[in-house]
Amino acid sequence: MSAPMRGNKLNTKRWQQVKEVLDEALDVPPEDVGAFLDETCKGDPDLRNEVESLLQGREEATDFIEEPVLRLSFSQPEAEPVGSRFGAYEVRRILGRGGMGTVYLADRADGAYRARAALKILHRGLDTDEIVRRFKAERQILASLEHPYIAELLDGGSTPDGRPFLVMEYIQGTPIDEFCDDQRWDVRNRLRLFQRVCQAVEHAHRAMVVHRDLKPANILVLADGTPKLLDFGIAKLLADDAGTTALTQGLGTRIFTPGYASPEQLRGEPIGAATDTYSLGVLLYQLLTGRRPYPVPDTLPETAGQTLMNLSIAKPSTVVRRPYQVATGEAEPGDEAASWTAEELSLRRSEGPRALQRLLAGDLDSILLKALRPEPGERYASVSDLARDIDAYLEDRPVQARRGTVRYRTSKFLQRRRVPLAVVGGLVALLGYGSWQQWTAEQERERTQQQRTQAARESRKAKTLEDFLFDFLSGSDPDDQAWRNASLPDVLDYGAELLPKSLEGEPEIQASLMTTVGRVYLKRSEFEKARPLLEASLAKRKEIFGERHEQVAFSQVHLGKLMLDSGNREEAEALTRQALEVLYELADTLEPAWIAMVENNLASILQAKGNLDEAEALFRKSLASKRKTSGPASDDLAIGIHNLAAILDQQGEEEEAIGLYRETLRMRQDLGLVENLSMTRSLGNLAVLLTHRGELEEAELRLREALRIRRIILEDNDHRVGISLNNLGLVQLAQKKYQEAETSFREEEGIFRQAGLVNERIFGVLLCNQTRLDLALHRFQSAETRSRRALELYTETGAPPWRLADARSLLGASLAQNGHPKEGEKLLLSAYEVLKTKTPARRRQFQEARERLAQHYELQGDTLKAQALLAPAPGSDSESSASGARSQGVETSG
Amino acid sequence: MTVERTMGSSETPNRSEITELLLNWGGGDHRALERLMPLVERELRRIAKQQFFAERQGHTLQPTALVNEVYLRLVDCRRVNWQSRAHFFGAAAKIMRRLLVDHARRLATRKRGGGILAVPVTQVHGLGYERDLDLLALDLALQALHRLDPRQAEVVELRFFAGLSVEEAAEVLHISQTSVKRDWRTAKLFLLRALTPGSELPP
Repeated sequence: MSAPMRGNKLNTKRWQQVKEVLDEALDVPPEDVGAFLDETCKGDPDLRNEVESLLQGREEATDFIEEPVLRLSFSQPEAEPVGSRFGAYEVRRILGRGGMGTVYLADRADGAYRARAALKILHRGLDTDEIVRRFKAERQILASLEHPYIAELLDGGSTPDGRPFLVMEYIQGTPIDEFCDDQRWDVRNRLRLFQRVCQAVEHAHRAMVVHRDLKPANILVLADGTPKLLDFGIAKLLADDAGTTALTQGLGTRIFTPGYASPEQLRGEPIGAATDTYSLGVLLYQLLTGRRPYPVPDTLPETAGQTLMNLSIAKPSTVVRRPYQVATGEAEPGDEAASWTAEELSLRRSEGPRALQRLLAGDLDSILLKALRPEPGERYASVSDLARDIDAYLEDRPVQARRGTVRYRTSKFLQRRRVPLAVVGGLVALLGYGSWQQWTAEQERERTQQQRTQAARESRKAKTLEDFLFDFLSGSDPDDQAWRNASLPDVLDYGAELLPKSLEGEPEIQASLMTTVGRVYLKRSEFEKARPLLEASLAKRKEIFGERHEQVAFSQVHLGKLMLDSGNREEAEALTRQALEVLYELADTLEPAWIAMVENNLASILQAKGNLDEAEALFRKSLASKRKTSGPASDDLAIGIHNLAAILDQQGEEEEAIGLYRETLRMRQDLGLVENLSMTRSLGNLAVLLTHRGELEEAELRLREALRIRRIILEDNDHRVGISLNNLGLVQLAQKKYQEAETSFREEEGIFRQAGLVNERIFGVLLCNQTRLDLALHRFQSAETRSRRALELYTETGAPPWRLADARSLLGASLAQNGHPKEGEKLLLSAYEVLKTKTPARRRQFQEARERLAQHYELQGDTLKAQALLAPAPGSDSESSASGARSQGVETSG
Repeated sequence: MTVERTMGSSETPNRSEITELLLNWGGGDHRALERLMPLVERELRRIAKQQFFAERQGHTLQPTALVNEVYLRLVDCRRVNWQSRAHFFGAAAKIMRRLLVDHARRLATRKRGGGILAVPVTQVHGLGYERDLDLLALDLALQALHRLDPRQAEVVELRFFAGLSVEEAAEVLHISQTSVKRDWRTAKLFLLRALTPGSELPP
């Protein structure tokens, strides 16, 4: 662009000169302009420069400001009917032009009453006589369509120049999509408005009138939000079902709008109510997402129909977070909306893109896809079914489009999340499932209003919960790669961090979720993380419900479990006793199973404290009520049986314990609940008892089964695999299969070393058992070394007196064999004295110690002393678990 | 003065009065236009308020419908021929220009805390050709053009702000269609250059 003039020297006179040359230059082909200017501007370089400068915009100017801000139409291509009278109506002005004709505003002019109307004059070429004949035939039906949301058809006839015209109620409204965007209506408002549209369509369907051309332009919304459907029955009026040429070729015998027409409509197949359902589906898809579900077909109708049959429509929730894709037909070129970003689009729905996505995901996805099924028979059976499903969504009931809701919902939920299933399944099952299940059950019944309200409240909770879980599990940024690979601990930590800040309005749910996450931590032995959550939950529930409430009690129970697991038995007992006391008070209104669970928990605590008699009584009580309330077999019942068996075992009541262990094992087999830790504990404990009774073959079988299961479900170096090996080794020792026992113990030792347990008490237990094998194989040096180390470990770790005594007895025997009879005897004797005073549960250790001492006397030649100690029994030390507690552990209650 | 009375009234201006003014203006009475304008403007503003000055984001301007509505309210269409209506719309175009530019200026001032900045009116043409039109800049350029050639500026006003066809603009301005065409295409180049970044406006 040349600078010299740049218009600065322009004045009125000069501009006229420039304008003239410029105008002429515009008629010269671009390639000749240079020569033209050379000639025209000879001797006036400034003029030439000015014109050239202006001509730079020549190409761009083609479109520049050609599209007016206002486009006023004065042109009257056909005889302007303004002022003319048709029937009782006088035309005022043009309202718009469409494919079928031109619409005018008209006033009723016969003086009967003042009324405005829309008068549609159809294009030339339509078969007037036939349409007028049909109009007369259908007039009654169309008149019967009287509905507040349907624009009334008032009159019809033919113009003097032979064109058909129709007179309709005049609606001053905005197309439904624009209206919603202008008002920034959120999804719920849009759905409610859409439902009113459905009501109108359903009303017409009951009168056997199908609209056939539902689209935003035909659904206007008044300023007060009332929808008005235009042109009902018009398409039918104009269409030619019989195949006769009612209409000329130009218009075709089918009237529809390609972007909204159903596949059957495009293919020229029979049309029914399902056709309107499909168009409504397209409409709703647009209302909710702001995008078209598929590109507007631009091929021949038959081809387009086939395309739609094979089309896979993207779930609404999947499209709202990405930018518009004009190329894929989500918007048409020129649509204002085509330039909107996902944010702008969501904003028009008063949501953020993520929130909008979350709203659409699931129910609304399913509803829309069902309405848009290519086969009419697979869509909703009626428009009212569609409306009902939207109703269900709005009231948080399960929608028909997603039958089999709970499992479907849960599985879909899990599919979407790439997070560890255990926690998700747990959370959903614990908190969400119940509500939905209740829902489904209730749905079957005739609901009273009260039930409805209750159900709505329940499901609102479930929804809130679901939303939180979604946030929780989708992370702060779901697209973040790090989050995609997040581990369960990451997810939990995120949830724990999120929880105190979330769900302000739903403290009950907040407390529930805190409890849940706290319990997951607890189960993972992450006590420091579990504690603040469980404490916060307890405090919150006290605040909400007061002191004496079952929710408070349950929180206390969980916290009690935490105290027990982290070693604070006193606190554990206090909390759980307090909880149980309240629950007994409220027993009338509670599930007996809940109380049974808490009794079980308290029993476990008492058991750990050594208060065995009260523990046994409580376990019995708990089991008795479980047997009453539960069916013949359940996991819960199996646990109760195991727990009672374990404490009887500990109390020395072997007979009853064995019976109960066998019962719980059978029950689990029947239930198919085999490959789990509880099963292996029962197997292990039963095997130990069987070993003591000399039923070694069954004991070995049971242990091998336990080992098999533990190897499947546990890490290779999990100490619990080691414990199974330990007990198996002991059985093999008792069977005098020393080689096999050696292998078992060695494998166990490898696991303990890998797990870093060499300085733990449990390693002392292994050393003691290896000492037993050493003694049997006369490896006295090794026996001495091992038992000495075991005694050290027991001392260092504060092991109970009976363990110290056991180790002393073994060391004593080894020393005596290694030429230190005096030292050995001292140890053997002191161990014997200690074990003599112990509970029946330590009878085996006592018997062993007595036998070793007797053996020692025998070796010393003191047969009398040996005999005085009485006959020996086959002995072994059996370990059922690292802590020595054989009970199932504390159950958790919901 | 008639205007005062009418302006002060909350009722729609007398229909026949406006029609009369319009007819007089069409008959060459330029004072009629002066009296007509405030009446039309008042009505336009009132309706526009509901329609697009509610300033909702993304609202589609529908000025055609707007002016039609005003026209229908104010003019007894049985008494005027279409040339008279063209005059009316020509006047409406001036008003529309002012309203739009005022509106754009207000928006820009509020948004940027002063100063005049581009307020885009997105123009979408045939096959996706698109450019944001800075209405304020266009208004300034049009003022410059008006200083050089008032009639040419009026052609732009009628064509762009009222969407009048060449024929209609010729009718309103009492000039030949050839003149309108020439004014139009050269004005577009003038304005386009003025709107091109780096260019300067004539004094």
